[in-house]
Amino acid sequence: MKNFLIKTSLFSLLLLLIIVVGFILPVTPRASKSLLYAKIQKDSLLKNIDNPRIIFVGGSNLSFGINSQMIKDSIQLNPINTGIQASIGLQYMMDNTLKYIKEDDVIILAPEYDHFYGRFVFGSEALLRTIADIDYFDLIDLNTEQIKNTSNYILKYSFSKLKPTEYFGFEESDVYSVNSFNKYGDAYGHWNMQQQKFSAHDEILEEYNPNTIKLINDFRIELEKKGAILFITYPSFQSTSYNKNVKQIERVEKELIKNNFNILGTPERYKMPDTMMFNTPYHLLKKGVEYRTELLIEDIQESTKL
Amino acid sequence: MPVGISFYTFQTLSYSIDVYNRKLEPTKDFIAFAAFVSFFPQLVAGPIERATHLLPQFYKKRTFEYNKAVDGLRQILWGLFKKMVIADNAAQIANEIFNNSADYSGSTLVLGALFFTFQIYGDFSGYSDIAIGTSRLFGFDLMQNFNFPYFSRDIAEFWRRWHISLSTWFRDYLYIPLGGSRGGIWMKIQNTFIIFIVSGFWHGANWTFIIWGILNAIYFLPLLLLNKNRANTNTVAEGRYLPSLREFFQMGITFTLTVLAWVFFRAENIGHALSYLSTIFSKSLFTIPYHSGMKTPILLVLFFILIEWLGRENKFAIENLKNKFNPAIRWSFYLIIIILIGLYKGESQEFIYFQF
Repeated sequence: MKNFLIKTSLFSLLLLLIIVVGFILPVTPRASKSLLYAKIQKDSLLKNIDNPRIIFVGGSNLSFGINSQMIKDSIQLNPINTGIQASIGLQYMMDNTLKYIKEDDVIILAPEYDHFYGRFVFGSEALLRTIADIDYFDLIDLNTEQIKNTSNYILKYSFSKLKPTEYFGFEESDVYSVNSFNKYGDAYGHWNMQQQKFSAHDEILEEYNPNTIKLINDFRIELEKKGAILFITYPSFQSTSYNKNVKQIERVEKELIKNNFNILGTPERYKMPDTMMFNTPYHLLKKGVEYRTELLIEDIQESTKL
Repeated sequence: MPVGISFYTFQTLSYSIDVYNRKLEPTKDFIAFAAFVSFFPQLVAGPIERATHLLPQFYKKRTFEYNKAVDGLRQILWGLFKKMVIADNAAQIANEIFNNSADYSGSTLVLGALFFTFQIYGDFSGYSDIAIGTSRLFGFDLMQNFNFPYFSRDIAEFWRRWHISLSTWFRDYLYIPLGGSRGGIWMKIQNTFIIFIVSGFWHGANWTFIIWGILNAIYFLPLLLLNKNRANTNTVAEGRYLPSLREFFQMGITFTLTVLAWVFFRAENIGHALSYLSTIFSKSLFTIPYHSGMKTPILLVLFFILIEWLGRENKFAIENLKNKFNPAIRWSFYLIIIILIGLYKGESQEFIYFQF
């Protein structure tokens, strides 16, 4: 028994050492070219763009879903598109944005429907990578729920730093790269591409999560304290996927209305024809981006009288 | 339905039948009996133990055995790899293809069926490995449940290697009492169909399982009638690295038949299975399959097949590491497996056999 315990302890220590070394190794060349690494650029926009500002907060339905230049031309506010990927978690997106809010900022929050179900709002692997690749000391700021979600991926994250393909022989993606964004933060690398084959979003089967509304409400309160104003818009969502999730979407709409948020449009309005989608149920082709942006401009103008 | 009901029902039935047949003395030790019925590692998905094998182990005083415990850990590690890396990754692709089969070409549907084939094997045999390994840590020996079934050279051999605890249960408590292979041709045919149909029905009240059972009976019958059902009782290519050409073709045919049967097992209903198969056997079979995101899972499955092939003469693929390699190589291998699990574990899926 003693021999067994000694050997298993030694093996565990060796494993732990590998995990720790992997974790603290600097960001790999591949990760530094990834979409998630664009957080640095987006934070810089939040920090440096002057008033008057309109800040879009959400996942890839925003990064792959709006044309900020059109917004700037129409409503004369300086747009900042902070959208990167939904799986960073809505909570982190809101917390991170709050750090950079200035007086009179207009915030347009575009949560994805998945953020209202299960634990998606707290983020997952993308959250861990976003923080750990840039500055892992920021992990201390995560709350228990976020840590619970991200801790599942610590092994994967640490071990990924040991893969040779993280250092050699990788190709930077045209679409999902740190360099895929324009000066406002819109992903535009795919604007001249054709639709790709992808599957519709499955029906959301997770339980409705009331924490999401609570977190958005807390966000609203903090924004108001800073003299900013919050609007909520619905994500552009592929028609086929929408039809599979009508009940779940109606529930989200009902809860948002019940909580008196300033809402732009309706979910139905942002239900996008399948032909306008690029490569996921939330990502739009250029014609879809333009169509969605026009809808959004109309809704913003109507609600803000800008 | 309660999780694993068919497993502990069969386990308890075997006790009752053995006592009735006077093969086993009824136990007077209630704690041992309760522990036998509810032994946690194998309670929900087997292996389905016999009272004659497991019950006496509860009477004995157990002492820690180093080799058994290390073997147990090794088997748990391999089981975790099978489940978390092979089965869970394969499941994501198989689910996507089976759930949207109308959108894909025949060649892609073949990939879907292949991924399901590895999903179900990785999932179920992975669970068995974890259960057997955990039991070994506690000093208990459970029966082997899988013996590299996809390297079988005919269907009879496949059924001696797949879900062994259920196959032998049906053999001992159904097939033999029905008369087994002792009667005439019609008796053999009847008993074969009964055992395979019941086996299908055991998985659930769905026609897809029944057809899966019937299909396997059809595969099996010619071997039985020609008296070739025990032609391959040893391990394929024993003592050699590579199979002969004949063995290779035999394995290929058996594997193909198995994959086709799994389509019925996985399909939502008979109509779905038939349309799936009709797309496979169409012109689109000869197109390039949709394979986006499949490169890594395919490489992992190939790595898995290689390790299983090299370890096929053991009870589980990496059992014999201790005899072949020094500790440094062994530890490196274990670390590689753990790193592969950490890197490539798929989205967590419930064990398939929990539903049965």
